[in-house]
Amino acid sequence: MKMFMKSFVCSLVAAVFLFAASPAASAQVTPEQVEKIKQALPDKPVKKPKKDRKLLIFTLSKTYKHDSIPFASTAFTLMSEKTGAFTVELSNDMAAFEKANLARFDAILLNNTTSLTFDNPKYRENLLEFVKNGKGLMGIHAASDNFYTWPEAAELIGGYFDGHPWVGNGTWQVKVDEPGHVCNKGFSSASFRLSDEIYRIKQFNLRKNSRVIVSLDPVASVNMKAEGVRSTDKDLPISWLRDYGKGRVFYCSFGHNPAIYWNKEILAHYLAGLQFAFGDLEAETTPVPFKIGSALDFDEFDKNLASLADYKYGQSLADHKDIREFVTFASQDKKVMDAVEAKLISFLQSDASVDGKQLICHLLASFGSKKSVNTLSKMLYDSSTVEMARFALEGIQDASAGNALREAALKLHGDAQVGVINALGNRKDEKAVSELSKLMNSENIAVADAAITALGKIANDQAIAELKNARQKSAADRRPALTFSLLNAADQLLAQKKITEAHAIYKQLFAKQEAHPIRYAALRGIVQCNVDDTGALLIEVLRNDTPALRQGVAMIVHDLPADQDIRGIVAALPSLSAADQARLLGVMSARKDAELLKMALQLSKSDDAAVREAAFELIGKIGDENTVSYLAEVAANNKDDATAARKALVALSGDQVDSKIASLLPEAQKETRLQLINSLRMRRAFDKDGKIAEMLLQSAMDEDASIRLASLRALQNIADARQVETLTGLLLKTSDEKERSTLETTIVAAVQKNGITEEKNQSATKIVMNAYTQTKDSETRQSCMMVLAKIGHDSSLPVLTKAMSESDAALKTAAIRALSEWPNDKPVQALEGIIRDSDNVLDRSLAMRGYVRMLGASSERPEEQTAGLFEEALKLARNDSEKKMVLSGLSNQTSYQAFVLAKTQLAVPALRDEAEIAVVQIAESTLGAHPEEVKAVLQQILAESENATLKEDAQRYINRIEKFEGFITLWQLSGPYTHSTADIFHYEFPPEKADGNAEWTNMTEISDKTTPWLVNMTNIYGGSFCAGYMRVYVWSEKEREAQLELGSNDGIRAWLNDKLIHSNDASRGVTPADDVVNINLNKGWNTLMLKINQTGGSWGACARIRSLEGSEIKDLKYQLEMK
Amino acid sequence: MSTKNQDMNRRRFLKNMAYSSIAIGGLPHIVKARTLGRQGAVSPSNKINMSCIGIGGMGTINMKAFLDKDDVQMVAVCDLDKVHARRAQSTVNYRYKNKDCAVYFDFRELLQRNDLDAVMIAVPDHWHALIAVAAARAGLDIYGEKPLAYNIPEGRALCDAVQEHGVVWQTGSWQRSERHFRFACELVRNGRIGEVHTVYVGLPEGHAFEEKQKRTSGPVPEELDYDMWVGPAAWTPYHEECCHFNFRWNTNFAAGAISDWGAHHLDIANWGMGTEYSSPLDVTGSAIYPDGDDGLYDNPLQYKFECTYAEGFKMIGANAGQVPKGMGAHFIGTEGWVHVNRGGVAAEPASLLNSVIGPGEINLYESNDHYANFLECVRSRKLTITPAEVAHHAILPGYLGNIAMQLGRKLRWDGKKEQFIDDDTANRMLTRPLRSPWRF
Repeated sequence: MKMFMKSFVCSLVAAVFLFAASPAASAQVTPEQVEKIKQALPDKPVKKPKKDRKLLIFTLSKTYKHDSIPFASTAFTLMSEKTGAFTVELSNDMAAFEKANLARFDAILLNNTTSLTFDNPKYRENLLEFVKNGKGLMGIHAASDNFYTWPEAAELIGGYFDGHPWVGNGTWQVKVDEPGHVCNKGFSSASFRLSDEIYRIKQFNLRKNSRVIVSLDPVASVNMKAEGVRSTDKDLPISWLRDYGKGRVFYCSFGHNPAIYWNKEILAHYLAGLQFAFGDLEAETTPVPFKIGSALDFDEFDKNLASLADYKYGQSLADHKDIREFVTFASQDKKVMDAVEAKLISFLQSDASVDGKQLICHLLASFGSKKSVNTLSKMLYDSSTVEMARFALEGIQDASAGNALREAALKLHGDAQVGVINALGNRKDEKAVSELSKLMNSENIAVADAAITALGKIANDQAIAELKNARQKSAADRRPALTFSLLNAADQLLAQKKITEAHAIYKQLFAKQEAHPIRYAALRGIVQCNVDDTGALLIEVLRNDTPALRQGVAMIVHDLPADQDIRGIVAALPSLSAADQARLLGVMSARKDAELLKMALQLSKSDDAAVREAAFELIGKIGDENTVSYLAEVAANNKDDATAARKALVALSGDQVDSKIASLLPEAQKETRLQLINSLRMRRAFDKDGKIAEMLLQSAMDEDASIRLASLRALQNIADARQVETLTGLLLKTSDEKERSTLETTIVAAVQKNGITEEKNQSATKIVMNAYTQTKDSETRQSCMMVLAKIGHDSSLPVLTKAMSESDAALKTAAIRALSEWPNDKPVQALEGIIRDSDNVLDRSLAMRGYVRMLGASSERPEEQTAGLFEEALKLARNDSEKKMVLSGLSNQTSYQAFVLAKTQLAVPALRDEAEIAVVQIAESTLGAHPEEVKAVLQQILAESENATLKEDAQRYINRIEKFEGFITLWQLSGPYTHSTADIFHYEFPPEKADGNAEWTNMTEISDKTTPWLVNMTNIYGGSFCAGYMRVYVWSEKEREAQLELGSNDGIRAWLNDKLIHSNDASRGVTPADDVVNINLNKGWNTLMLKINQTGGSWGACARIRSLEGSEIKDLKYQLEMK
Repeated sequence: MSTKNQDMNRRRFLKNMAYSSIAIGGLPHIVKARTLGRQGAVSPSNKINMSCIGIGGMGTINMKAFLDKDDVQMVAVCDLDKVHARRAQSTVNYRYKNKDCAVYFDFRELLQRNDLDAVMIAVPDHWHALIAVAAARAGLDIYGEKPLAYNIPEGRALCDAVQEHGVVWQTGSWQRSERHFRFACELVRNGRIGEVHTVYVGLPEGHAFEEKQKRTSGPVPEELDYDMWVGPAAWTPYHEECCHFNFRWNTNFAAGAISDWGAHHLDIANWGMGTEYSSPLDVTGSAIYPDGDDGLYDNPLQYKFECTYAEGFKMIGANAGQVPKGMGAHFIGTEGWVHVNRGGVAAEPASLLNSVIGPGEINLYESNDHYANFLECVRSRKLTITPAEVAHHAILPGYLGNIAMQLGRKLRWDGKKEQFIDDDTANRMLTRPLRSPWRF
């Protein structure tokens, strides 16, 4: 710490020295600019300092570094010199916030600092304490671009940066909120224009803690028209000051442009603010809430309204947008809104256009009050305004709006009357029941229906009585409306917990003669009321009612609250039809209920396969550890249900299931045991205390070989480092080859379970090394080596390397095999040694395989160098088989050097096949950079290779190279065609007809500049639901088979020489060669015609003709007209 | 119901339509039996009688997909654009090689049929809920396009009607039936990235009117029943640029990019977070709106809204430029992140992509064919992969955000009542009056 402090002091001294030595010579501030700053600075302090003041100017920028930083530092330094109000020190070292250092200062200036996070909690505390205990903090401009992850500091300074639509090269209108404020004395005008970058601040209680004294003017259109301004940008503080504990904060967002620092008025503002922060200048800090009205330009609003008076639909909505934003904002202050609403009302009373009035009415639907009701109600009686007025009244909650609507309900007619009645219903206007009851009998069915519906929404006692009464005596054609209305009323009663009343209505609506949707709803309602024996009712339905309602019961049961008793239904299940049983079992999975589980177990023995399947699925979801043994038995012994039971066994949830499965292992019959063991593997059982692995380890020693093997496999998913020792012990004991190799995998999996760590690798390696040295059995030692290699811990590397020189040939080979499996390339040199020196064919081959794999695995070596090593390996290879291995390793390379190396091997007949594979595989990554060379080699492969799959790939890569080659760009077009009644894709428009009366025009230019191969019908024709035709004449030197490659958006049909050869009614984007059609070209001229159809969005097509192999046909010619 | 009665009803219905200019107010009170049920137990050979309402761009794609299903018989199509309707009829007839498909221009007439089991609805947003509620009241199972409804109260009415009448509902949020979306959500649900604290949902920017676009406020095309097209929305004269596909850029008919794409990616965000039935506690937002000079497009261009959930995370929806990884759902947890979009899944650590979701873990609803999932549920009466309630809660934060953006203040939300807390203005902005005679 001491050292650190020392270095800090040094750096501080250095900074001061540099600065003090020559402020004018600062890298970016020219002498002329220094002079301008000096001139602009105040001569004297605003207030004589109470004592000597020292300012820490802090300039650290962690992200964006402002060019203006040196200007600010210079300005404040010169200010200190010229006014004598304070002295300065500079720092950009966080250590400046050490307590002892801060003690030397009276205030801190955050000079355009960015992204300060104050990760050191001590510095955080020091800064807050500094201010709290009576000192000052000043921020300019980017000082608010810091505390995104430190809310206390964001609140200290007022907030943080939230974008700057007002950019530095613009000129913005500034409003001095308080011209008389002591910090604003330097401003000569209360409103001025300034070129600077202004921040939008995300406020942190700014308006509650601080006094805002300068703002960006939200009324000025220049400010509001800046790009990126949001509709909510109204409160835009620039300068503010506050008390914080015994200390003070002053912030000003000016200061992005260097010119700010020779702006006389702003420098005076800075000085006053700074002296306030020092505590030398008394200033008013009482927070003043943001005044909504101050941000509103009523003159502009009047202008907008005047302009809206002529509005007709389709004309600019710019005025309306402004009005809407104005009203939305004004609505936050009741007094302001009153004034605004008065203006809106006079607009409605004026002779403004109906369209304009409609927009205002829609606003009043959200913002209007009872003040508007009078005017709006009058508009109800004018057919051109009734609808808009009703919209507005519907939204106004005051009772007067209801009065107006009720009155109108009796006076209006037709749609207007219906609309008003609908509004009364939506408002649940209980006072309207008498009127509505009369209107139910209106001769106008639309009016009567509206009244019926409204009564159902109101749903008080009187409304319901009226509806019931009407339903009893009404004509058949009124019944459906009344029925739905009563249903709606019952739903509301139920929601209000008026169960008895709701229940009575549901009962009535459940009558047999009602239609299914009503009966379903009624039944559901009855069940939700839960007053009857709902189980008995549902069972009755399931036994005797319509199939549709029986199906519906499943949904009702599904929707029942989980705590509702359904034991009755469960008990009745056996007496129901198989279809109902299966359906009901399918919806009960959310209920973990003992009775239900019992029933599921019973039904899992049903005669019906679907029921059994549903039962097993349900057991899997709600079963517990007690169902394990049954499921395992079924899985083992019942062929028909084995799969379902197995799935259920795997799906069972609960803490006890895995241990239960494990505990059953010792006693179970062989087949059942196998099922249990396999289920543990599939379940990837979580083995907290190691007991499951314990049980599996025991069964891994069973006398039955299949049990042993299954157990070892299950352990691969379950065992972890705890079992490595026991597993290794098993490896020492077993004599079965399959078990041994399974154990190898199991041990490695156990070590790696829950992530690979150095610690686990080391300890496992130790265990296996012990076994390796203990045993004399050669095969066991070989297995140990393999396990060691796959773990790949450095400590076993010397042992395995040494084993390569064993005299026992088998061991030696095993060592090489093991090392070639090593997870990284550490044994690469050992393997290379074998390849260089050994004469043993098998050893060499093993080593070579590992060697080439390791060459390919290293990502650190440059690719060209790796290609060189492969070339070297080819030389070391003594026979074709070894060379083939090198080539197979080479094929995973991606460099062009590798490609060239592979290519040279094509000439060696014995290596041809492998070289071909390598070339084609490497081609994919190299065709981009070397298209010509790669294409030539791929074409050679196409011509000469016998490997069909490889040729397909080669062709694909050639296609990719040629991707945009050979597309037909010469077309005649006809269209667009549409038809009002036909399926456009199949309808025969003129070009398809024999008389040839279609009009064709030549496509004169490329229709899509970015994709020249595409005929972009959107650009040519636009439109939707139409078809277009494309035609071209194709000359072929000879009669030949070829391929037509088509891509289209959407569907495409193709004709060759007037014969339909392709039709695909697709919905897709254009992809070249989505459709490939084999065609026969005549010798001489051929006619190719395409039809493209369009269902929506963009459309277009592309086409080209290729040989059957997909290559270019050189002698084809295209022209627009037949000569 | 006898044929004779049916004819009488139909005549009366048509008479009523003539009686007032737009026919009976509100929704038709059509009640009928479900045919699948009526014919007894459902057997595999029993085809599902389907119909389509709204056969424009998306409707045509949906209709063709259902035409490809062997267990569907498309018996009727309906569009208030006669060209759309007749073309669709022709497509169905061509596919079946017969002339049996009926055509309608008014959905109320289509719903009078008593041989329907299911309906596909792909109409502009402002019509979604009204037609869906009418179809639910007619007892039809419904494949309905996203977003669920034009606003939150209409979505609530739709959810309630679907539940009330026991019909199967599938939303056209087909991303759920794509394996990689499911996998991404399973990674998140199973804690592979630790505790998730933030979900970004990147959506396209809104649509500004392009100057080169022609303005044709010309006459309403003869084939289009424009009065019906406007339907429950406030009346505005015909403009081709606001009709058919382009309806979505005008607030009178839809909520722009937020409802168009939000219905997809917000849905995936909820799926990953397990908040498919949850609502946010509060919402803030800000937006930039078109300047209005075109007179037509007024949905936000750039926008950002932030919702806090009781489950302890923030969901931030915005145009792609304002979120870290652009379009898609981007889950950020204490131990990594997952980002999923139509192109695929990305994750940090990347090894998560090889992760296996075990049987004991949360395995999400698996559907690999969105249309087939609907048809299966029509038979089994189980919930589809995107039930109405789930779609309602998917678009809900978008609609809340929309209001917060307009008002510019933090709004608190009561998810039970589906009302804002202590903010009358915001509550009034939740809903809209319907043009007469339309009502729920």
